This record gives sequence, structure tokens and C-alpha cells, in this order.
Amino acid sequence: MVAEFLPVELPRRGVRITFALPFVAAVAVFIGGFTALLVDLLATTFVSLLLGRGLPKVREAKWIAANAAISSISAALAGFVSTSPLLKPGAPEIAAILYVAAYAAVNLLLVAYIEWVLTDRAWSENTSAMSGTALLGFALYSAVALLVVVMIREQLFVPLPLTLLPVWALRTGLSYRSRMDRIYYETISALSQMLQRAHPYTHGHLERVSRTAEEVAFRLGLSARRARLVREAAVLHDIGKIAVNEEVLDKPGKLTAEELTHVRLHASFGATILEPVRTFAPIVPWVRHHHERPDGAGYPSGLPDMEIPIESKIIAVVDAFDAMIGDENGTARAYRQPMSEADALNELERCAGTQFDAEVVRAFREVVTR
Amino acid sequence: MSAFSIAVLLLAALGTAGLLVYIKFWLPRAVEERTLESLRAFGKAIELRFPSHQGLTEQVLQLSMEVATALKLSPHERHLLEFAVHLRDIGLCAIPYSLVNGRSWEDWSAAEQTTYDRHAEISGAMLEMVPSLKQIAEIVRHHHMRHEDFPKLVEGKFFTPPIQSEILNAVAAYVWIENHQGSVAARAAITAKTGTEIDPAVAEALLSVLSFARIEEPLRRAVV
Repeated sequence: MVAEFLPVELPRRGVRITFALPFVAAVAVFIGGFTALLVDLLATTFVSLLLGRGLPKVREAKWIAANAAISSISAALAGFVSTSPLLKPGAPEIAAILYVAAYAAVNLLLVAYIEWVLTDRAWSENTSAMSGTALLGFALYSAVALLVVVMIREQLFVPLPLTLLPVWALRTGLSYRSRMDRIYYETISALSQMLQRAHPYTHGHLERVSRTAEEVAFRLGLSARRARLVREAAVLHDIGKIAVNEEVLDKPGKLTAEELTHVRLHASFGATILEPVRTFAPIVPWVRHHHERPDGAGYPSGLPDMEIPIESKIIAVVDAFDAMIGDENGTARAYRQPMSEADALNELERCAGTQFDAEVVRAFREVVTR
Repeated sequence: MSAFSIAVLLLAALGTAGLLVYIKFWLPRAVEERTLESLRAFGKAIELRFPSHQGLTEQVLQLSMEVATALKLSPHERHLLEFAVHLRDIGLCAIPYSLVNGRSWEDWSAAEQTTYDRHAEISGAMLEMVPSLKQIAEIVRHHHMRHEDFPKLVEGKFFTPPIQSEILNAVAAYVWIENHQGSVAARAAITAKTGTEIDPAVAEALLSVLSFARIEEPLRRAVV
């Protein structure tokens, strides 16, 4: 119960991780799977009742019911696996580890399924985003479960509460990790707010570009993790425009050569702003090169096609399309009249192979016309 | 007790000790580093937009921390001040580019000065929207306050800005004038503003830190 009371919430996912599993596994091994199921169900429901206070009534009831259902299904299947007749009798350590493995796997799949249903997030994204934490958790839960089983078998009941120490350490470690993730997302959000303050037209544009860029990345077969990074890079791709004169950027009509050079600096400015943050390391080159062209006439480096990251190519296409069609009110930037979606798609295809990557344009068309 | 049980218990003890070291020493430092990296990114964005602000943050940071120590602020209060120093000017992103670049602040009209002065309010509003930075929003919002305007009656209660705002106000003014007109003029300005724009206790601490620095570190390049 104590372990259950110390959940850690994963940022932006609303998923809480609790720590009672190693102790439930010990109950399953020494008393029985059904008792373990009851213990787990009671602990989960009781703690959900206390932690769920403050939610609206209907949401609270659904939340408690979902937690109870997940816990029961996981415990029932884990109990079934750990008491399998294939297991050698008298090996409680192996049974405990099997129980933890089965419980963790079923729990992870059920949570990923619920997220998939509720948030429309890709199934693969849900499982991959949680698998790192889940694997680490599984390793540590198994170790603690093994320790609890050994201590009970050796009748070391007095020091048994000491097993809460590694659980507490794991909980503290996860909560630090969660804080680091929160800092990462809040940095993205604060930087994008800064850009929107400097250039109000970016409001809405960044959100649309990032959402579509992620879908195009998926369509091109990038992994869920990489597609998520593309989405984050797309939010920040124009961050360098903070350092660009808004009068030049919004100027109607043709820019002078000097003004054009000034505007073009935004790609490398963006990379310079993001560079101090180590967690942005993968996306810095994508931001720097999002105005490179397959024909080598892009900026800032004039990279040849082969050297332009695919992620930069995705951002380039989605960004250009969104700039051409304007925002949801049909208004575009000061220097250009908004186009229809069909015209903008035709324009992208006309420039495929020179200004934009042809494969990315094809995937983009599939995403926006499906 | 079997050899296996002894091995498990020993490994558990060692593993727990390792975990404790990891969470006690490594992780807090990692969180701190991540936060500082983010702060540097915000600072870099403002410095790129307004190159005349280049290097100011480092100077304000060093001097603010010395004043905070002189005023015996707690480690937590100093920590918040450090964050506020880095983030105090993020609202400058909403100030017109051409107002600051290529023009001297001495040529600004009253309306332009008012526009520029809004950056503290904007910075505060932006920080208010970031949960982990919310606690420094109040410090940042008042970092160009006038000491004599407070306490103010706000919603039936007297409000006084945090001491960190008073420190930032005095130090930022000193560093700005010092960079444009030299340290003698900056000290004279601080003395002249004491009691009206600047908190007398903070002004005293600042001038004492500067005098001490002059004796102990005549080549204290970051500030003088």
C-alpha cells in the first residue's frame, strides 16, 4: 500500500507508474494468484479513490474503473503464467520474476491500447514511448521481487520493510527523469511562445506544421521516436526568426539582397539558439538545414541532396505548403496572397526534385488528401 | 541460508547503494544542468535579437549573486534569483526589432520608452504560462520597478515585490549604465536613485559589493 501511494506521473501522457508490483508478486508466489489479484485490486482501487479526488465525478469514476480493470486483468494473467504447470515446482524466484514480467507486459499493452483509443495516438508511438521506462521498471521490479521472495523464504521478516528503500530510490529516480522530460517540453513551449510574441503570424502555423510533419514522417516509415522528434523540430524550425527584423519579414513586395541575407540567417540562428540544450542535439541539424534544396541551391550551406537530412526535407515541404495556403481564416503572410490547397499541392509537385524532395512531396500529398 | 540467498541479499544491498548515490548526486546535478541549458537557449535568443545585450546577463548574474549573498538570501532565494536573471528579458522578443537595433536608447521618445519598459510585464506573463517557471514570474515582472511605488494595494492586500526584484532592478540599472557611461556614472546613478527607484538596503549592499570588489579584485573584468 505504501508503494502504491508513491506514483510518478509521466509528463504529457497522464500515465502514473506505481510501485506495488514486486510485493504483489511475492503474495502470488507464497499465498496464491487469486489472493494477489485481490490485494492488487484493493490497493489500486483504494489509492485511485484517494488520488482521483478533485477530478470531475464522471471522470473520477471512469478513471477508477479503468485502473481497477487494468490491474485485475494484469494480475489474473500474471497469476496464470506464474503458476503454469510447466514451471519447476519449488522455484519461487522464477515464478516471481515471471509474474512481474507478465503483469508488466499486459499492463503496458492495456495502457497503450487505452491511450490509442482515447488520444488517437499511433499504437507504435504509445508502446515505443513507454517501452524504455517499462524495460527499466521491469528490471528493477524483478530485482526487488526476487529480493522480497528470498527474504520471505529465509524468514527475514523484520528487515522486510527495507525492500521499500530500492522502491523509493526507483520512484525518486523516475520522478527526476520525469522532471527532465518536463523541462524539455516546457523549453520547447516557452521558445515557441517567444517566437509567437516576436512574429504573431506564427501562431497556429507551428502547431499545424508540427502535426502534419509528424504524420508525413510516419508515412515515410520513420520510427515513432524519430517522428516525435520531427514534430518537436517542426515546432522549433523557425525559432531563429526571433532574431530577424519583423518589418523585413512582413514586408510586402520584393526584398533587397541585404534583406534577403538577413532573413536567411534565421536557419543558422535557430541552430545557434538550440545548441546550448543537449537534448536538442538531434534536431539542431534539421533546424539548420530546413531551407536546403535537393538541387543544392538552398541555404545556409547549399548542401547537395544526399547530405540534407530527411527530417529537414519533411519540414521544408510542410512549412512551404502551410505558408502558401495561409491560416484557417484564409489569410496568408503580408507578402503573399493565400492559395487554394490544390494549387499549393500543384506548386509543391512542380518544385519536386529541385526545391523539394520528390518522395517527401508524394508522402505529403497522401497525408493531406487521404 | 543458501549461497544463492546470500548472493541476492548482497547484490540487493550493493544495487540499492548504487541507486541511492545515483539519485542523491547524479540526477539532481543532471536536472540542474538541463535547466541551465534551457536558460542559456532563452538568453541566446535574446542576444541574437538584440546584439547590444550581449554579455549583459553574465555581468548581471555575477553581481546579483554577490548582492544576494551580502543581503543573506537563502540558497533557495538565490536559486530563484539566478533563474530570474537568465529569464528577465525574454519579453524583449515582443519589442520591435528596429527600436533596439541601430538606435540609441537616448533617442527614444516617451512612447518608445514605454514600449520598451513593457518587456518586464511580458516576460512575467510568459513565465506565468510555464508551470516550472511560474514561481519566478513575480520576480521578473517587477525587475524594473520603482521602489517608492510599493507597497501597493492589490485586491485589498498590500503587495510588495520579492527582494529578488529589488536586487535585479538595482543591478540591471547599474550594469546598463556602467556599460554605456562607465562605472563612476553608474555608481552616481545608483546613489541618486536610492530611496526612489532603488531599495536603500539593496543599494547599500550593491555599493558595498562594488567597493569591496574594487579593493579585493581591481581587475574584476565581468563588472568593472
